[in-house]
Amino acid sequence: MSARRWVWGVWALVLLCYVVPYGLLDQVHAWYGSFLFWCVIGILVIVANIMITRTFQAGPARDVLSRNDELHDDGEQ
Amino acid sequence: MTIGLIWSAVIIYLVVGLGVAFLSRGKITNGAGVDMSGYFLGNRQMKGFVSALSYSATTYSAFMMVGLAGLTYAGGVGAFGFEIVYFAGVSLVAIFGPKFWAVGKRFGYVTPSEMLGHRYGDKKVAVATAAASCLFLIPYAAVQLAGVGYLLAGMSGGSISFTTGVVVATILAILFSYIAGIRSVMWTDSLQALFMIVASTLVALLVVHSLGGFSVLFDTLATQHPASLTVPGPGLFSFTTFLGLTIPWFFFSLSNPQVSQRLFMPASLRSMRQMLIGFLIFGFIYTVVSVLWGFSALVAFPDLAKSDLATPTLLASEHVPPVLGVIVMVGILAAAVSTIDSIMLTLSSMLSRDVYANVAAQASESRQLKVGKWVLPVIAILAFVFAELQLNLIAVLSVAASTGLVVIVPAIIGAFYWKRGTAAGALASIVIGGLVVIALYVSGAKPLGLPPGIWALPIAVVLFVAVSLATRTSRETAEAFMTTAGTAGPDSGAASVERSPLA
Repeated sequence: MSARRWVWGVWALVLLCYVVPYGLLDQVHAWYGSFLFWCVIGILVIVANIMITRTFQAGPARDVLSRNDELHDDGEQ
Repeated sequence: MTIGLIWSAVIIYLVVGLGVAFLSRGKITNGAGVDMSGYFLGNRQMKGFVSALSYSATTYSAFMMVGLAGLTYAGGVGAFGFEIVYFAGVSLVAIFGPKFWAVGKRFGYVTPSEMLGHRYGDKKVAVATAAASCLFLIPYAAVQLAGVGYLLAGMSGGSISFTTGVVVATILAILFSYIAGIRSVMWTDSLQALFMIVASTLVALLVVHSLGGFSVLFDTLATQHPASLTVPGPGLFSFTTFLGLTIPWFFFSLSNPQVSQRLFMPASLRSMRQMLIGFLIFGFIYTVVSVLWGFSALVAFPDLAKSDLATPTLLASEHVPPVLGVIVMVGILAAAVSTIDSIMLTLSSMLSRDVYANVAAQASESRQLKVGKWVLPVIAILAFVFAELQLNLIAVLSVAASTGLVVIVPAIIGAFYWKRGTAAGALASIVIGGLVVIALYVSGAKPLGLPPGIWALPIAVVLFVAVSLATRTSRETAEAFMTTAGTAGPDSGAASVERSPLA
């Protein structure tokens, strides 16, 4: 999956942070309700950021930026 | 807790912190030819691990262990959700970080406000951004200082006065930021971050164990305080309040200069990645731990008069051994100081780079650095005076800080993604937007029943777009800027960092 899709994934997770606890879990009075849900979101945010930044490498600015560009264009990571 | 034990812990912290600050001195920050970039950005050569710990210590103030625990005590799990939305917002670093970093290297920016002034071709934008940052962040630092005063006074039973606590925190913040600029800030931050996470996690594990373990804790909550496990829960986190809190905090990594300036500093994008991922892991653990403190206090002491007493009561209880209690007290002190010193350093760089250099006739790099070093203790003293006076307006500005600074966000996003954005648009959104936020907070007005946190961003966006469309843009600078950032589009022939969904 490309970095671009992972970024969209983060925005979707943010939206779920509002919708699920207020819409679906508002009657679940247990640890496996909103507490667990937001824990899972937190972990998924970390995973998404690892994937978004996996082309961040050492090297001069121009080389790195160009390299990222090629990788994102091809969709090959 | 004896006063001797408290002072011993503070003195050990002071000595170790100063030792680390002196060890961090180097040619970059204290050599003969040191310049603004060296002192305030570590010559753009900061490595990932230290950057991650420092970013964490700067972001997480004393609010977490005292405020978030208190918020959980009063409002239940919604406090956790609020922090997780902020946490997800740090993903903006993954999108904007490489862009800040690239334009910073190319154009030699030292401050985020300098970047905006150059991009929009008008120094007034830099001055306005710097002024808005000072307006909201000095009161925020003052409230942090006052927090240390209350903490030391509270834990010593009044033997250490409020003023003594504030003086201790102010001196520490000045020393940690003055000795080697950003290097002493980052190295002492790292030490303090490690201290904060170890101490707070130890306490959480001990307290939860003492209350019967994780499942007993949550079973007790489910039977005795069921509302605390849902939103809106006990009532504090209605949907509009939740929105009003989370929207400004979601943009914290862009709107707050003490963290967005960090995007200029990594030695490479790999270091930036280490900074980001390291911070996220730290932040997640720290958030869960702080929320568990709040829940534990709710189970152990359900009848506290004020939710802010949750942490002090927990630390003074039989669930926490006195020695660990004092260690956590130093951890909270460290959390406050590590936030304050970063704010002071960033604001002094903004005042010298964006205000002094734009006003004075011959403001060479060395003159700017000299002014920055003079301004640093002045900001500290100003924050100290504000903390001592405990004025209502200061408290209001501090609470309004995250909302007030979010008005800068449209100009930042526009700088990278909207060529048509103009200096007048940026100025209108920052100045008028900022004034509207202050007016809403001071008057307590809630138009349509919505809090200022919901209004600030749309107002700033509308002002930025409308005024930009009505005024002329500086196309040349915009073109060069966006080409370097990789957001100029396919026709410009520029290398692109990535095409994010923001594009």
